[in-house]
Parts: sequence; C-alpha cells; structure tokens
Amino acid sequence: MESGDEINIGSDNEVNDYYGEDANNTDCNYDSLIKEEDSMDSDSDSPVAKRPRLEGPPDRNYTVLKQSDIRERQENTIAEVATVLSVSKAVATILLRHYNWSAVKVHEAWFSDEDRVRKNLGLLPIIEFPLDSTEVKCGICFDLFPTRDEIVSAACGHPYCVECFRGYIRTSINDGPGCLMLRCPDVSCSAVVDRDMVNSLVSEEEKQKYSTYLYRSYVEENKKIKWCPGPGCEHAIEFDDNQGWDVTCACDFSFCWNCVEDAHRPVDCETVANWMAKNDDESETKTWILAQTKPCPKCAKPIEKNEGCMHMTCHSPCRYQFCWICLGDWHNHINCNGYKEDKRKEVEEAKRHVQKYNHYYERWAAHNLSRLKAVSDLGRVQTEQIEQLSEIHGKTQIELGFIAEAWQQIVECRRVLKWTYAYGYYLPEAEDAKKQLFEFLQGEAEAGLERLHGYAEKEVRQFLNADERSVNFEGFELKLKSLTGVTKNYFEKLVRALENGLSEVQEAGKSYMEEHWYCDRCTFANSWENVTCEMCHMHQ
Amino acid sequence: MSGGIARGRLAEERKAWRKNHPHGFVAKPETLTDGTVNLMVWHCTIPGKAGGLCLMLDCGNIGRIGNGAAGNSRWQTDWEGGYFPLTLHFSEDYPSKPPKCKFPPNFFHPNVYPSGTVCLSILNEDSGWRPAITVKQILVGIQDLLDQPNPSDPAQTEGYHLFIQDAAEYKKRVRQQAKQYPPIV
Amino acid sequence: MADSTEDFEPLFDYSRVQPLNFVSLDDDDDDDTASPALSPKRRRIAKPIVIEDLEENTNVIQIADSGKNEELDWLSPPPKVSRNAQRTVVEDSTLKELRLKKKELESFAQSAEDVLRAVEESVKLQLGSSMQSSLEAVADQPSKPTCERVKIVISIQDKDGTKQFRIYMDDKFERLFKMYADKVKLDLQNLVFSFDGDKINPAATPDGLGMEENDIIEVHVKSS
Repeated sequence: MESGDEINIGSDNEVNDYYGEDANNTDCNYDSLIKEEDSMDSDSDSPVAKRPRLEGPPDRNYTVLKQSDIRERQENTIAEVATVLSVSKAVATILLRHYNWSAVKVHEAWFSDEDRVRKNLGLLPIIEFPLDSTEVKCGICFDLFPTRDEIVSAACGHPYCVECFRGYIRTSINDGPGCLMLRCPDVSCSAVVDRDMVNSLVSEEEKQKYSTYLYRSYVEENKKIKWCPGPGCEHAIEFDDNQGWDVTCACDFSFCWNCVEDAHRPVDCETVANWMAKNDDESETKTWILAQTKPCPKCAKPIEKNEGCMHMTCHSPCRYQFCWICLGDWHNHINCNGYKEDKRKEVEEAKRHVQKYNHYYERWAAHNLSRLKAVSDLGRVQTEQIEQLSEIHGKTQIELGFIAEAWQQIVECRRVLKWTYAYGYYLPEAEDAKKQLFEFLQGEAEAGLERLHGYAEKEVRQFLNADERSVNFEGFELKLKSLTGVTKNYFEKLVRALENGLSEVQEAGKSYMEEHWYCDRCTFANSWENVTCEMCHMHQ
Repeated sequence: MSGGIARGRLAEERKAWRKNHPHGFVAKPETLTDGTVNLMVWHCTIPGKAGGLCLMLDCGNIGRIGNGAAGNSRWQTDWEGGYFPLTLHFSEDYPSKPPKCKFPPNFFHPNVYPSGTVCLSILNEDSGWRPAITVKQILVGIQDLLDQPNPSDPAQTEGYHLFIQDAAEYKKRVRQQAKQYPPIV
Repeated sequence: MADSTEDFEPLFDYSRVQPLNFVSLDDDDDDDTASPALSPKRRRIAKPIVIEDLEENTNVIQIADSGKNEELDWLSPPPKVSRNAQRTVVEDSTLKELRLKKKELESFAQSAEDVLRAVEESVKLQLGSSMQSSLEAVADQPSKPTCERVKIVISIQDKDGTKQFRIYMDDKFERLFKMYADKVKLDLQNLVFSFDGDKINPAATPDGLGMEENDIIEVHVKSS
C-alpha cells in the first residue's frame, strides 16, 4: 500500500516534475499498482495506467538510466528535501534513504510529526559536550584526553577520541552498506552518524566507498528502479507502468523487470520462479548451495548461515528477520517443527513427478543450450560469415542482413520455446483440452523452428565455397527470408495464445485441429477458408 | 579499528574491574603456564542472579525494566547459587568487534549453542554490538539472559523445547545445573 | 544487583573508591606525624585534581610544622611554599604576627587532617618505587622506622557494598579478616574471602597475591 505515490514519481522522466505529476494524477495509478503487485501476471486486465502527457516512444514503458542520470536525480532530490525542510543535505539524505528515496513520503512524515521522525532516525538536537570536566575519557579506547580538540561526538554528545571514532566509521564502511545508518557507538544511544561527520573523519578512499553505497542505495531502495542484471552493465531501469514486464537495457540485455530473471514471455514470473527453484532442487551441483544459502524472503539476496542459530537477520539495509527453516517472519514465528501430514502424499506424488519433470527439464535445458549456441553463432555470422559471403557473392553487408535477422529470430524462438516447457510442466493435468492444444502448438512451433535453424545453419555452407558461385544464392535468400517470417509469425501467435491462457480452447475445443489445415512447407495452421497458406503463400 | 587498541583497552578494562565490579563476578585475563598474562582471553564467572528487581537485556529489548517480585521480600531465581564459568575470546579487532563468549560445551540454556557460545543481541557484530560496550556490561547482560531467556532466538533444541513446553522440567534442569557449578570458594 | 543500574556511568571513578573514613590497621601513631615530613608534594601525578588538593594542604602543613621541627633544613620546600613564605615575611616583618598566623593555620591543618591523610596515602602508592627512595631517606631519622613498610587500601565487598581498609603489603590477611568479622559482627568461621575468584589463604599477604591499591576482596557468607 505504501508505494501509492511511487508510481507517480516513476511515471515521469523529469525529477523536477515530481510535484506537477503528482498533483495531476494522484488517483489514477494507485489501484493499478496494487493489482499489479498482487498478480504477477504480465497480462493484467486492470485498466492500464494512463500516461497523459508523457512523450517518447509509445511502446516503452520504462526508462534506462545511466550513471550520470542516477547521480543527477539523487542530488536533485536531496537538494530539494534539504531546501523544503530547512535541514542539511546530510540530514535530508538520511531521511530520503529511510523513506525509499521518495521525497513525497519524507515530506508527509516530516510535516505530520517531525519529532517522531527525528526520534526514530536518531536525528537528535545537538547536545554540547560539557566543558567543565578537565579530562574526557574516550568510550572506546578508554584513554583520557585533556582537551576537547581530540574528542568528537554525534549530536548526543557521547565522547570518543578522533582515532576511535574514525576507526568505528571505517569498520562500518568496510562492513557494507549498513554504514549508511550508523549510530553512536554507545549501546543505548540512537544518535545518527551522518554523512558530514563521516566525511570529516575518514580518508578519501573510504569517503568514496561510502558515497558508492549511497549511490547504490538510490537504486536498490527505490521501488521503481532496478539495476540491469546484464553482465558488466551499470545502468538501471526505471519502470513506469504495468504493460508487460520485459525490458531491454541500453546494453541489449533483456530481462523481466519484475523478477529480474531473463526475459521469459510468455510464461509468468511465478512459474519461472517455481521452475528455477525446482531446477535448483534437482540439480546435483546446486544442492550444496541450497544447503548453505537461502534467499532472504524479503530482498532475495542469498544468505549464508554461519552460526547454529535459526534466527536469521538479513544484512543491512534489509534487516529482515526470519526463521532459517521455514523462512517465515520471525516476529510471528512460534515454531515450525510440526510435521504436516499431507506432506507425505506429496512425497509419493513427487516420485511420479520426477519422471514428468525430467521430461520437461531435458527439453527446457536443451533449448536453453541451443539458444546459447545460437547466440554465439549469431555473433560469428555477423563478424565472419556475412563478410565472406559478401566477398564471394558480391553483395553488400546490408543486403545480407537477412541472415543475421534469421539468427536473431532463432535466438528469440529458442528463448520462447525453452519457457514453453516450464509452462507445460505447470499446466494442470486435468485440463486435457488445453494440454492437447498446447502440445500441438508447441510441437508445431518446434518443428518450424528446427526447420529454420537447420536451414540457416547447414544450407549456408555451400555458399561459403568460392567455387560454387553458380549455386542459386537468390533461392537461398528467398527461402531463408520466408522461413524467418513464417517462424516469427508463428511464435508471435504461440506467445499470445499462451499469455491468454489458451483461451481459444473454450471456443474451439478439440475441434481446433479439425478446423485447420497445416501448411506442408511452414506448418502454419490455416483455416479452411484460406486456399494458400497465410504465412508462406504455398498452396494447400 | 585503528591498529591494535584491543590490548590497551583491555588493560584499562581490567584496571577498572579490579577497582570496581559487581559482587560475585570474576573477570581476569588468562595466565599462561610461563606466568605471562594473555589479555585476549578472559576467564570469568557469572553468579546466578539472586532475584529482586531486574534489568532485562535480551535480543529484542535492551534495558527494559521487568517486573520483579512485588513488595520487598527477596525472591529467588533458579540460577541462584550457581557460579557459571564463561570465557571471553577477544580478537585484535576488539572493541570494533565483540568478543566471543563461551560457557562450557552443552551448557543448558535456550540461547546458548551446543558449543557453549552465547547468542545475545549485544554480542552480534552485525546488529547489537557497539564498541562502547564494556566487559562489565557483557557479563551483567549475560547474567540477565540466564534468568530471562529469549524464546525468539533459540540456539539449542533441548533448552528451547523444555523452556517452551515443560516449565517444570526446565526449572529442574536449571537448578540441577546451578548445583553443578558451586562457588569455588 | 546494585551495579546494573550504573551501567552507563564512567567506570574509572576514582573518587568513588577514595575512602572517606579509614579503618587503619596501624598500631603506631608515628606514621601520622611522619607523613608530612615525607614531602611528596612536588611530584607530578596523573590526576590534576589531586595535585591541587595536595598542594593546598601541604602548604598549610609545611608552614604549620616549620616551627616545631627542623625538617625544612633537609627538605627543600616546594616552590609555591617558599613564595608564600617570602610574601609573608614581606607583609609582616614581626615574628609575633607570623606566629599568630601560624597558629591559625595550625588549627586549619587539624581539620584538614582526614582529607590530607587520604591524599597522602594515594600519593604514596601512586608514586610506587620512587617513593621508596624518599622513604629510605626518612629512615635515617631514627624515630620513624616503620615507614619502610608499604600500605595499600583494599576494599572488602559483600552483597550490599564495600568497606575499605588500609593494610601493609606484607601483612598477613588473617588480621584483616578478623577485624572485618568483628566489624560486621559475624563469625569468622562463616566468612570466605576471595580475590579474583580464588579463595584467600589467611596466611597469605597482599604482596604475595600481587594486589594493588584499591583492589577488591570479596566476602561470601557461608549459608549455615
């Protein structure tokens, strides 16, 4: 519920415009967001959030943020809050970090009860250290210090020598992002150690580290921004509304913004999560990871258990507390030792499932491998093959672009096909008609793809031989283009069908196959009204 | 923390301890066979609490005053009479990092691991520990923990289950253990 | 647990262990008169507050005693004292008035004696071995032979609090224990004394156990 205002911020590209946007459509996005979070389906039927005066490509529901964009936004937000609340930037930073970098939420909380916010976050009024005592004992090293110059304190006034306080901050910085919410070294004191104090005490290198944590927190604690998981990529993606989760970063990496797995249309996130978890369960090589680590139920970072105690606390800043065994919230946790009787049945059934699972997994993994191979082949085609063919057949590289397109299609189809096996595994066995239709569509798609893949892979070889220039290259081009188009269309239909939960089955039922004829060349299912194939124009 | 303040701080803590410490507690650095003193390992004794108004110091709530027995009659705890040996292992990172506090292995208490290590929030370097916490505060904290286990943070099966499910047996086991650790003197 | 409420107080509160009323195990009174003569006044010590007290008091004593004995002859007076003395001479040249002043100071010195003694004791111990040399010097005076023995303050702590005692480092504990038992009106047989968790043998000495100024001995009452 608390993210109600987030989407308004998220739906605009300009930081400076937070308020204008907020005032204009406070209500319209609220419900859709809740809905979207509840059902992880990408085909949510809720009224799509309006994007009234947003310019830019209409098909993009997200914004790729470069490092400089992120820094700029962060600095602007901090400056804005500091100005509005008349506090230092260091204090504004602490407030924003606590409220997930939402200026709106900071304002709300601050103006409704400033004292409470100050107390919770340890933003105490400054207490001057008593001057009358001639010597001060550092609370860390316990040495006595004759002058105030060597003593530092947070707002609370607890005295520590400069060296010890520096060491305290340094240790905390080296321990990770928890340093962003550092408190006074005294156990009963909540006074915050803010950025100004950190910067006044530590070295350049540590300041840099601290500032990196702060930078990262802007993305990681912001509910509308996520890092691109692409290898080596440092961009982040801000997600604007709920029209499909798949996003493609500026680095070309495609992923699902919701679950940060590889893009997985037409399968939903939940199925993917279940499937991936299942794969982990089954995989021999991964069993040790499972034994040693579990994802935090809140932030999903892997947690390694290093002590015997089952009470786990996730690292800062998440700090979620849960039971290691059942992953339940620790605060409501009583015990989870009881054996649930219905689990035994599950175990027996699981045996039967193993075979079923093996079937789907084998195919899922095979397509995955095949996809990876295709990705590397695509690279090779683009760098070597096209160049060679261009030389032999006197064509420009642009003219030969159709080969790369064919390979790109193969890569995409392998990706879809791979996920259809996860889809198939979770398809309820009782829904026979759906299952039949699914298997039919999947089988056809697979056959079509194999044809394209085989053609692109093998047929091209003869043209790479300089002596065989006489061979009909135009014929090859025509066929490859047509196969690419046919396969593309077919897979688009497959994706749509699966995303609609195979709803056609209700209308067509088992007769689907009877109402269509299948093209011999491209295997497309045409209705009987068509005399020629809708896809490749071949006669029936 | 800045290079090697551990020993200096421990020497100061020891100095302070000799002049002022709660009755019944012992805390002294280990003396090696050659007679030299190892400040990094302290052998301590924690007396079972003698009842009265108590200061709770557990995982969730630091410094909450719990209700003792009403009136001015002194009430007994099941831990009273026991003098429990505890060893503190300090690292060179002290007081940046907390010491490891160990009872003998298989010590009976819901928040003590089978290895004897004490599970207490202020001793957790990731959450409760602050460098200003003293040995005295640790020992008093553990004394409180003995009598006020924290059921939300179990560290051993036996102690935890009895504490939750069988109060009478738990009490019996605690008293038995207190007898196993009589005063040395 | 009297202690648990004091968790956030500074641990090194020396003033807290500074005894206000001593139980002295001295059997010779020489010590009291001898002490001012030891003149440890110019010594720099860790606590500035103590230095202040010390100098104030000693000045008084120096002047008060100067008429009675000749210690000023062999002990060079502290700078401050000599300044004071000179000023006194300038202001009042007649011996009579000076004596009158001395008398006033003498009475003041009497009242300050308790405080003085405490300060003096702590100084004596903090000075440690260097003290020995001046003690040896004093030993030349045939009238004060007992000063060679070092004394320390030791606290005996029971469940309700501490009592402080001043004893010789080489004195056996049995005398202290007996005295304590008398004071608290308990049978010595029922008392067990321990230091750092170890039971103390009544035949042992503070020196033998490596005890230091202000160390605590714990007393446990046997449940009969």
